[in-house]
Amino acid sequence: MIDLEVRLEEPTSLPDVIALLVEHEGSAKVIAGGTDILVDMKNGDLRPKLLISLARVEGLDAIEVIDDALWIGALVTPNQLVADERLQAWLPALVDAAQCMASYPVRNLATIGGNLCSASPSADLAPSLLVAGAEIVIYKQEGEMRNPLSDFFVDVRRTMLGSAELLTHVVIPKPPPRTGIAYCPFKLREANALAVASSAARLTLEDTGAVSDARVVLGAVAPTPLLAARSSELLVGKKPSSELFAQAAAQASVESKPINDVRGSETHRKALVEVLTRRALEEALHRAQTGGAA
Amino acid sequence: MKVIRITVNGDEIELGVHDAESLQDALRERLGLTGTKKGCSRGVCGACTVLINGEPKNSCLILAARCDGDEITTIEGIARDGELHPLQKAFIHSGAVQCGYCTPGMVMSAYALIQRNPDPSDEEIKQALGGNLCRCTGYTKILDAVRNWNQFEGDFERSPHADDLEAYQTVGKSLPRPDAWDKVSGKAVYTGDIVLPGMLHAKLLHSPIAHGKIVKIDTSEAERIPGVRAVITGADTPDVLYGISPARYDEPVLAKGKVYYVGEPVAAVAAIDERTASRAIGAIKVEYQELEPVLDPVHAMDESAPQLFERYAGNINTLVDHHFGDVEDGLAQADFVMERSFTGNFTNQAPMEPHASVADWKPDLLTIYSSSQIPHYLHYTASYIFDLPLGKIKILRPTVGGGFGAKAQPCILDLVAAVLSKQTGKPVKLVFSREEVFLWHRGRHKQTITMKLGMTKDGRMTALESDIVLDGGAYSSFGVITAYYAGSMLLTLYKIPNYKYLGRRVVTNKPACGAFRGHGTPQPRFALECLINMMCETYDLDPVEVRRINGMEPNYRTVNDLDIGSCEFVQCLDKVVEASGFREKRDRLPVGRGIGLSCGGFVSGAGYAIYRGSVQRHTEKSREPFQKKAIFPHANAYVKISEDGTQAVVFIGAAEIGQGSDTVLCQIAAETLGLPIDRVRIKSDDTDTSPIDLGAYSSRITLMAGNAVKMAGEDVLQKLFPVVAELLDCRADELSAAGGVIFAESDPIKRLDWAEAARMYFNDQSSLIGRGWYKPPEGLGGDYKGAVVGTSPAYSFGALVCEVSVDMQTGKVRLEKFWDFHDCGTPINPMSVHGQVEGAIVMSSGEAIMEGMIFDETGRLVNPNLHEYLLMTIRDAPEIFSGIVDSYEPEGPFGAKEIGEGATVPVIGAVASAIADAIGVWITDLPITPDKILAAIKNDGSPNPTGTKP
Ligand SMILES: Cc1cc2nc3c(=O)[nH]c(=O)nc-3n(C[C@H](O)[C@H](O)[C@H](O)COP(=O)(O)OP(=O)(O)OC[C@H]3O[C@@H](n4cnc5c(N)ncnc54)[C@H](O)[C@@H]3O)c2cc1C
Ligand code: FES
Ligand code: FES
Repeated sequence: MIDLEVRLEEPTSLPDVIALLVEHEGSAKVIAGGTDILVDMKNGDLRPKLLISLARVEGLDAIEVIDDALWIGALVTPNQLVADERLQAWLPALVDAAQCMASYPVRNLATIGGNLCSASPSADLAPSLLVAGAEIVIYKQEGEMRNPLSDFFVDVRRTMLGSAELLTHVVIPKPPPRTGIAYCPFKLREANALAVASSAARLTLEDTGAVSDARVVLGAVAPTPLLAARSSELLVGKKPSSELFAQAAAQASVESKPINDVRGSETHRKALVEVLTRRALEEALHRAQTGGAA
Repeated sequence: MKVIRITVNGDEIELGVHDAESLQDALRERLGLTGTKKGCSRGVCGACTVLINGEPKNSCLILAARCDGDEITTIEGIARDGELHPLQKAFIHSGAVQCGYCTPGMVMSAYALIQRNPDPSDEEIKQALGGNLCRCTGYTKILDAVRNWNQFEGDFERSPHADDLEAYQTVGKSLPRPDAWDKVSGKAVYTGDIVLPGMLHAKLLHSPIAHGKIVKIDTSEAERIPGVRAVITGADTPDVLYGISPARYDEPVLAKGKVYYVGEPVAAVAAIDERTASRAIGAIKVEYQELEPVLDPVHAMDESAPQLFERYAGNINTLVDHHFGDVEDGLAQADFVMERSFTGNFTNQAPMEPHASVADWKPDLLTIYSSSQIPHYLHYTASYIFDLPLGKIKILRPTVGGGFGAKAQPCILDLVAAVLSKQTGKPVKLVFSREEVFLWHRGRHKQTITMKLGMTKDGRMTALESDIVLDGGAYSSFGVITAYYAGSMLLTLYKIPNYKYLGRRVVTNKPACGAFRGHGTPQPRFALECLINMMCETYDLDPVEVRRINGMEPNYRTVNDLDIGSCEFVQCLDKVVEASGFREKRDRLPVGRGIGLSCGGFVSGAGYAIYRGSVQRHTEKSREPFQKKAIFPHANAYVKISEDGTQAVVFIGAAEIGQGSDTVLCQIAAETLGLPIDRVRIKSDDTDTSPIDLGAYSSRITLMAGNAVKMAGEDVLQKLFPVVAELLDCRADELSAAGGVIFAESDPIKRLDWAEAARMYFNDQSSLIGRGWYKPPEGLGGDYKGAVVGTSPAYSFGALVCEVSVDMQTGKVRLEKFWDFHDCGTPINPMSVHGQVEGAIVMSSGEAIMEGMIFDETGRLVNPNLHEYLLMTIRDAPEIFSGIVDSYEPEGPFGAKEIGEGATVPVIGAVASAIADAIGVWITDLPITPDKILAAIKNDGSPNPTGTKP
């Protein structure tokens, strides 16, 4: 039950949103899809006095190609991601991630911006965006700035966004040729379940077939999505093989820092990271070899 | 406030809404569109799904104020000009509707799917419906309905079902439910949908600590909030304890002086709206003196443990110490003896409709609308607590969105709403949030079980010893009976000559546990069935043969004095083994794939009522001493014929809670009266108009209420036939009724239209009303203490095989397929029988692998929501084959007995055994999560059981 004192504003432009945020600093929150913030408010974990809706701000709900990059508006929903053919070709891992989220009706409400800004460690969209080298566009009073997504997450449910800053777009660079990206989450049921652990892997191959670039990012096993740096390094310059993937997966597990909670134990999560990373690497290799990201 | 312009179901409207009001509340409260349901308000259950500009969305996660300009379609907007959409008809005729609480959301999700894709694949259907939880159907028939939705255009041809019986006209036919029409169109009224003029809304304040003294409660600030009409604490409730078994009444209406669990209701507020009531709850200040909580039931019995209640020494609330035959002797005769330990889990019934109550206390009449399985026990309890005669209380039972035992005891909501209504002079509504459903609990006890079984070389069971500690939580609730059931029901499947049972139900500082579908028996049954399978594995015995050799037979008296009547246990076993290919697959499936066999069964109604004599108010003294017979009939019915003779109406108190009892009782009435089904309807929701029926528990309605209805129908014919006989010039005993005609068996020319005959009866003798009742047979059960628990007029039997696959690297279980054969006597409605089996399989296999309430070290429930307490979705549900064996129970109406609870009993054992077969290691503590599976695979070698020879 949400207290009726809470007010709602529906500004139509970014400057208006920012003006409101500045005016009500500390007591206002933006609401995109509302699937996180309303649950928090109903549970009594969050008590803003003002909600500033982004829904009527122009230009945040489209997916566009600009200068060889995909620009995804902050209000794009998981179901929009799933339906987008360019994205299916460009970053199928993000489509998979969007598809495994929540449930069909929630996927019509949730937004990519909200998923990132909530900064829940188990959120599904961050890991594949991180391995793809995505950037975010941040809007504030002083103007717009572009930042790597990898700088964005600070702690559990905390990002680098200041109180009067918005995320407006996620920018996905066109993957280089022979790049494959895959996302493997583990969930306790087939719908409406958060990830117990997840792994996103990216492989870019040279003509020779050796790995020229690799990245492994883990979800739900640390306060923020975690770049398994040594695991990623271990892959670069080598020919892909099951042994190599097994090594990298084991290393990822070592790098993970999971906790015990309702969804799983630390031990189980460590074991999952290894399996999921191996599976993600295999799928990424397959995609890289079959031109999944042409 | 904001004013929005929206289009709702085609109508453009302007609506004023609060800024932070959900669309769900706006639709329900401002527009009266209560077809949009409220199962969680957190986006997880899907019951609130509506279409916004054609796309399904959870209306509980949408702010109405943001919907300006939107086009909204709710369940009320799908039918056109009174004609249901084919999808809605498909739900009705496929049996996809039980309690109906998930149905509006389910239909909306499916409707949106078929708009985008008129011919969806199974996978696409499951994707689309993954966010809609159903606790009743097991999703099987919902999948069927959506698959075949376009076969229900216009006046489609209804085809008979494979299991329909030829022998009767109405009984044995898979007829659609009479209440389904309302449920698919959003018209069914549940308690939470009720609005009475001047009604107030109430909220409860819960204890934040598990154990402590209430030092002080300050309600002054809450009382000062504008709009608050009453604030009550324990001091404002009657000074009387209540419960289920009169011998263990131990629960106050609101906590008095002490709190025993996190979530225990401490105070309540009635106010002009829910939000004001919530705010006032937040303003109540309670000072507690914390006491050390008792959380572990085994340690609770230690001398050093704090004593929670003076009357339960050693914190033992119920002690059962039974010994039948001679177990030591039996074990000595055994060639093989194995002893193993098993642990169950706390599971919650989680009916999709949270409990709700509306009370209206007027000077001369207390009316309670309750989402209840047991209107009569609520009637009784209200009389007892409020010191009012039964006649001054009326219980109404609106549509109930599932119960499974959660609503089998008078709920705090009913009692508190009544107190608040008395204080304010206004009707008061009180509805649980999903969190409160978990905190109130009354679900499955967590049992810690050690079992020892002896067998001869040829597989004959010689002795069974069982030691069970039941974690009961704070109060007794149903727990005394649970503790007895956990012991007595083990003996109904196998002829075990020697049996010892030590049962200890222990009080702890957790929510009280109660009766959950299968009451007390699923966990011990899981233990025994696994133990049998373990022994077969270790000693190279055939698990099918072992079960056949010991299998129950008709007309057998068990060693604990239960009288088994009809019994087709072995038939169930043989059929399920054949259908599943169990023999071929056992031990031969590859690693990661497994098959498991387990059996089960249940009572068809408890042999004795929970209280013995007449209804008592707490100020009255003597209780009637125990006698080995039913003091009063457990089920009573009238059948009234309309004055024009065209319609029969059955009046009975049997609670339809989604299980389909109204349908079955109408079929029994129609068959008895010789009328087509569309000329029979039922009124089962009002204690003023219907005589007592004890309610929906212990799987009793089909047999007991069915017998009462049958007798009432026969009474109608007995009154009617003499009138007809005179007219047709024949003897009354020559007459029969069928298909709306009364005729002489010997002379087909002698016939009279049923309605015409009834009309003539009315003209001469006034209303044509039949009366019927059912009392269980006298003398059921033995003479020892507790012998009554487990007695029943009839028992059901079943055998189940399940096949699973396990991801050996992650531990994830996929339930592939189930085969179930049941002996439920004559299936009055085969489609309903299968619906019960499918629902039971999905519910109980969820208990086996993913459900469990988790408490932290302070006694706080960590996962009181549907996002972290995991019910299976349609995407997790297995494929199910459900079969019914030929059987006839002489004590039941047309040979019928139960299915609803018995179907759950074999499930956990089958799942656990299949997982063991898949991974090569036994896991014996529930739920069998991926975490435990992976750990067990890693440690393989040690936990594999080996038996000992005495
Ligand atoms: C039943 C259910 C199941 C779920 N399952 C999953 C799942 O499987 N996987 C998963 O990852 N998540 C899941 N979620 C969580 C949630 O749906 C997602 O995180 C979603 O993407 C959040 O988006 P939103 O637009 O609804 O966020 P909102 O609730 O609107 O906002 C979330 C937070 O982000 C801030 N915010 C939103 N947009 C911006 C912006 N553009 N700039 C700055 N701040 C912003 C808000 O102020 C708020 O603090 C589930 C939620 C529910 C209710
Ligand atoms: S009530 Fe909205 S999803 Fe449960
Ligand atoms: S019919 Fe689905 S919850 Fe009852």
